[in-house]
Amino acid sequence: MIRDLFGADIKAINLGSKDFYDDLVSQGIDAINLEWKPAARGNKHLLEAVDALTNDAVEAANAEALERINAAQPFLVGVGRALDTLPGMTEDTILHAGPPITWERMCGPLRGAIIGGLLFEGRATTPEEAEALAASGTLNFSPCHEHDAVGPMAGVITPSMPVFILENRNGSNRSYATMNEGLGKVLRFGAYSEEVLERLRWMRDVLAPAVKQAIELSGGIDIKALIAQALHMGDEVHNRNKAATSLFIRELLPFLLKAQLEPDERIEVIGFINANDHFFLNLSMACSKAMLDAASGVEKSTLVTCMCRNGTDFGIRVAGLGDEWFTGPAEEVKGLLFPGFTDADKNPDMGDSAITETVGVGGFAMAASIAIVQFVGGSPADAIRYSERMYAITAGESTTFSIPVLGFRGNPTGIDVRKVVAKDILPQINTGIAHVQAGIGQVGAGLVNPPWECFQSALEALADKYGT
Amino acid sequence: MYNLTMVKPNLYSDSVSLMRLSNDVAALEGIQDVLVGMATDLNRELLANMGATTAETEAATPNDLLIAVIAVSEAAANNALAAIEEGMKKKKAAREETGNQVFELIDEVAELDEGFNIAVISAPGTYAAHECLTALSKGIHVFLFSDNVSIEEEVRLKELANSKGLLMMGPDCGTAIINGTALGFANVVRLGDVGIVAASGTGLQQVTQLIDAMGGGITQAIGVGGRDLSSKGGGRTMLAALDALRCDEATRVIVLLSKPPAPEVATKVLEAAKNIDKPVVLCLLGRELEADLGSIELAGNLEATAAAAVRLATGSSPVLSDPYYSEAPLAAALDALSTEQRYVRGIFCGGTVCDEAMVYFRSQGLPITSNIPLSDDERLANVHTSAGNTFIDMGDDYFTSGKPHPMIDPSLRNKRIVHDALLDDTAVMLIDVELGYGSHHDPAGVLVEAVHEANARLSVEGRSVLWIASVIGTAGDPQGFDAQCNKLLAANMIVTVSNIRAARLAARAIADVATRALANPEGRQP
Repeated sequence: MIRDLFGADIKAINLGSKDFYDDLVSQGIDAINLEWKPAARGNKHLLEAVDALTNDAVEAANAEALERINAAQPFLVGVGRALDTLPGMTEDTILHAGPPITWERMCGPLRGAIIGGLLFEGRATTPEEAEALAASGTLNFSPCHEHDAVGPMAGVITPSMPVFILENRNGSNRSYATMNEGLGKVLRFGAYSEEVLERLRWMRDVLAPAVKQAIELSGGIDIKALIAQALHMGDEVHNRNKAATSLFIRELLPFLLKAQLEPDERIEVIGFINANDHFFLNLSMACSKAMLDAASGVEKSTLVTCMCRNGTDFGIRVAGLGDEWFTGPAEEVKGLLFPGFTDADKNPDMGDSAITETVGVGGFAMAASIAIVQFVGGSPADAIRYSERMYAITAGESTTFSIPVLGFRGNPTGIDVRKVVAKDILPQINTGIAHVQAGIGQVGAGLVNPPWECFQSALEALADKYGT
Repeated sequence: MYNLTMVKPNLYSDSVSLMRLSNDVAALEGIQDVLVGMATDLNRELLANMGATTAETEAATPNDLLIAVIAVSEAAANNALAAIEEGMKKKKAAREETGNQVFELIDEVAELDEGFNIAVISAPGTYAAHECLTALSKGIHVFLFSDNVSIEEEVRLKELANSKGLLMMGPDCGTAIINGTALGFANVVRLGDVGIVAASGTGLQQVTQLIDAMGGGITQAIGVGGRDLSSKGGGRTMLAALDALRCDEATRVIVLLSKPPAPEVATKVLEAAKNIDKPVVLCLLGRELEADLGSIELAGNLEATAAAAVRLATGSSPVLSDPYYSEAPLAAALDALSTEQRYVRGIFCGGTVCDEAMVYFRSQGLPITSNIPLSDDERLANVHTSAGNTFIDMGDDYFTSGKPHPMIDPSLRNKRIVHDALLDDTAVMLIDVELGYGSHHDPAGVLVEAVHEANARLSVEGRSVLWIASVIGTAGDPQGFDAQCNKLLAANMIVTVSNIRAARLAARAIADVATRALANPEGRQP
């Protein structure tokens, strides 16, 4: 009430002429002078769109979407063959990371991964044959996200690949992800040598059945709870998954021991997971996906449900706009390169792994993962600043994930398109960098933001549909 | 001549500091013209007027900084550029010295959860509505100084504020005093029991200051913005503020101050006012209103408004303390006028005090002209050329477009003051001087520069004019009331704290001059 203001201590925010601030201070008033700049990059049209979407109905929709994200309980419940498991999957479908893209526009590592996928499937016997098939127009390339799935880097999923199955036990949705191959020459960086294909076959024939048995014996593993613990152990579960992978092995081990496996295979399986610090990444991605999909389709919500890239384009989806894609060019990643590589070797931003940032971990949780700055560049203070800044563009905080150094504050959760545009603060992503050529692998890691265009066009679409 | 134009992308700075920087740099040697400003349409037009447009400036956005210098030499231009860069740098260093945490967004401050309860917003109008919306959404009251906010945006903001029980003062709100804190342009006024709601900036300043000068005090002085009482404005803030004052125990008398509202709005506001069980004083700045006022007391001018409020609060008629007012110099000043010198030239910073003076002249049957006329037949053909008794509001948009308000930079009206004082037919110069927060730190000092210059040039011609100044200020104002008045007295000006008193004196002087002219058609008095 206005009369509550009467008699209260005046505490003022000054925005504009600093003279007014000086006058307030000289009257002994507690005042803050904002280092202000025009909102929405000074674009009046976008500001009007933001204002048209600033109302109780949108707030309520976002609260609902945030509640659904927070309430989701993704459990790892099994492993299946992609063709039998993924909705809409066919023999001729090849899934890839990021928004939709044609063969012609695909970057080198994505093409390499598709070539590898076709060789793995036995659809071609040489890379040349595979390339010809891919270019022939007879295959159906489709984003993982359009099949409830996610894949890191190239994100290629072919029909006979095994996929993790996660189930949101507080909803009806499922999500899927491939199993992580490890570092070095791997399909997700576009490698398709015999060594790569051999590993994929082993994963299909040995790893997947073993893990499937163990998971089923376990009755389901609460992945979200593992992430919550890992965040308190120095992971941000995008580029650092050491703790989470360790926790996962601890969960799985009793059941791997109980499973009906050949002794050699048991040792191989445990050794493989144990040797790969990133094994958990695909699970953290699938968990993020299951949480965010719970919010997909909430009418009027301006929260982002997906951020992903295919190495050429960056795409986002928004809760209130369902399956529609909003894209812009994938940006260059700034960071540290492994010895022997130069900026010319870097492929633009790639992979579905930005789903972790979308749910409030990864780059959003860098303050929980100070050690990550040695990998992606920057200082511990930067890590804290990146996380703190993300609260300005999110609808609220996680009720499960928290960041110790920020006073155990819940992770910034629910990226709000309105806030991103109005405040001109782009989501902070940390990521691996692929070599621009297929098959060479990771050349470094660093920091990147989505292109502004995605958010601008999503905002315009939201205002068209829901603006008042 | 040497032209230097450049664009610095994404370097936002607020317009007042940039205008000040432009003025400082313009004063450097060898500089003919300077523009430092954001690349708004307006600034680009100013740039075009300077003949300094480039392809780069055409492509610039309002987020980009424009710098243009026209100088006698390349060296002078570079010197100016260095000064501009230094000026912009200084600002940053000063912030760093404070060691305070930097905030960029209203949201960030709201999230501190430290009880920040009012946002004082003077950002360019194009962006202001969005910031207000953010503040109101966070439960923060707003004082919006900016203009150029559309009426649709204004209505939306006010409806949101009302639905949330928040105070939305403005857009285009110059003055408020909340819990004794001056917001925008406001004087240091004693606390008391009179609550005021006003659709007028200088009017609110004058009434609060006169209440103080009459020994009274105020609870709250709430500005509503110039359009609140228009048909579309609907009195949304006025009604909300009235209700808040009605419920406020500390407020015992309520003052409503406005030009006559749109008829349907007047009905609503008066109905609300009549239903308040506290005395209400209404000032329509001397205008008539066809309506049943019930128990509401109508006051004809700002001084009468203050007097009525204090009388109703204390139960006895107050005496105005006007310590520097003396009519002693009047007779000699009038004697020195020639018969040609017949008119008043009022050069005002405050729109409402200009208005009040005009209303008074009209009531005395004296013809007037103005750039803000009461009726269209009184409109000046050319606002730069005074004709007859002329009243100029130098704070009108026409004069302030791209420049600071003359209350911030009173030097902007000095040229006009000197010019008009030297006109053959000027007898009286009528000028307002606003003290208080928001205003220039030495407005009297700036004004007397013009007075001295005019007097010197008049004296060469063997002429003089009568100078009358109304000082809107209180003893507590940061400029120092006594020191300011003494500067004006030292320049042989008649000084009063009441604008209507100054207007009456000016009108009397004119009448006297006319009478003398009739009695002595030969010209100069012996």
